[in-house]
Amino acid sequence: MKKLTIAISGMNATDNPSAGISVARSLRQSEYKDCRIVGLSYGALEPGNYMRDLVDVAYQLPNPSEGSELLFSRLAYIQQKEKIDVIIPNLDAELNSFILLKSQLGLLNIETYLPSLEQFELRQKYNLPKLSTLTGIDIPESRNCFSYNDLMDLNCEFPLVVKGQFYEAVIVRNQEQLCSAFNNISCRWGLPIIVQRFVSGAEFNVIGLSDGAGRLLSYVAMRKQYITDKGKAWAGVTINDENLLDLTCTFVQKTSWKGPFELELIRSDEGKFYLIEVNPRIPAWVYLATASGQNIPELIVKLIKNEKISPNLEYEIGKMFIRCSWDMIVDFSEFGKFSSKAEL
Amino acid sequence: MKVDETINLEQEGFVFCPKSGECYTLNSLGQTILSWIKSGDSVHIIKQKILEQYDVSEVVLDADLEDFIALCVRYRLVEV
Repeated sequence: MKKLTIAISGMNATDNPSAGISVARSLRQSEYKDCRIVGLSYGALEPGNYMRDLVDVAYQLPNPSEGSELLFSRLAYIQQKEKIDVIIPNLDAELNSFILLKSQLGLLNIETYLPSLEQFELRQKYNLPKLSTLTGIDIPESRNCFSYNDLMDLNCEFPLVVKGQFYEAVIVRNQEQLCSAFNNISCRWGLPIIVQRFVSGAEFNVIGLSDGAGRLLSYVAMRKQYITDKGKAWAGVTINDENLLDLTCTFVQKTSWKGPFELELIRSDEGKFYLIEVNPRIPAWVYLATASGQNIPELIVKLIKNEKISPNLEYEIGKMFIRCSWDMIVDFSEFGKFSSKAEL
Repeated sequence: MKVDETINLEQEGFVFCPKSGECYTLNSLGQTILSWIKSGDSVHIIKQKILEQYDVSEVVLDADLEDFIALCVRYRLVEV
């Protein structure tokens, strides 16, 4: 049987890491462990470019803001050299392009397992109220702000959470902080800015995989135990809460979601779950799911290869991850090669 | 009064609640009290056992035991 070539994006591992390295790690422990892994990165300083035990070769992609046409040209070039079978994109900012390019990628014999454009749009942070109406899942009160006037018209009690449409979330406690956060985040990620009521409570995340027909195929829930100043989980433990499972099943059934996803939730001090965000891709903590018995990257490849997958929602409870910083030593000539040729 | 059946009581005094993900540490007496509750002892019996084994006045014990059980209830380790 031909060895698969699987391309994975999200090779960064900064204090706001993407899932790519964890996806590669999961695949290396799957029945596809001997596959050729092509890393797709956005810069020469992304560690995944140089991790030869996980990634066989790396290529730089154009910045997502440069559009899907340029992305396709680059992927077509890479395809000539690598003969990729499957792409697993892992960054919010690039997903729209990959969804738009699905048919064209198919012409290059590259397969993906992604939601539809409608599903992708439905879970955008600025559409959370619509998603809440569709699914019946509670969300904190949210407003989309396109301008300073929208900020001034808010009339909400502090504290509030100010969010960019792709990344970043800041808690603000007065009008000055609100305006400052609006300026900073909109500079980086554009408009709208989403302003949400702050809910105090413990943070929980769910990773899931569904088949586009309302079936939840795989699921792991975890509670964040250490949260960085960027709001990212730096440690977490798997938990078992029936309410979370029910909520996840409802999300999948009502949206007919296809592909991997992450739900970010807060359980208020009163015990109520609020959906904060839906991420349309694998989260960085996916390796915890793998270690708990749910290898979601492996399942994605199986689904793409038309293997029959029955739902299996069992996983080990009380499994913990603690993220660490690790100084990887890289030969400067390798860095130079990647910087000048955008591939290594 | 009973201990939530789902929680894990480790020998070293580490308590993990698999539903909420919350975890706590107990000192040796706390572990012992929780194990007595788990085996079905009432507050009265627990109090008698402590008075037999420890040099503590009843007044102090009443207050401390009440506080401890209230904390366990608040953190959903014990149901009354």
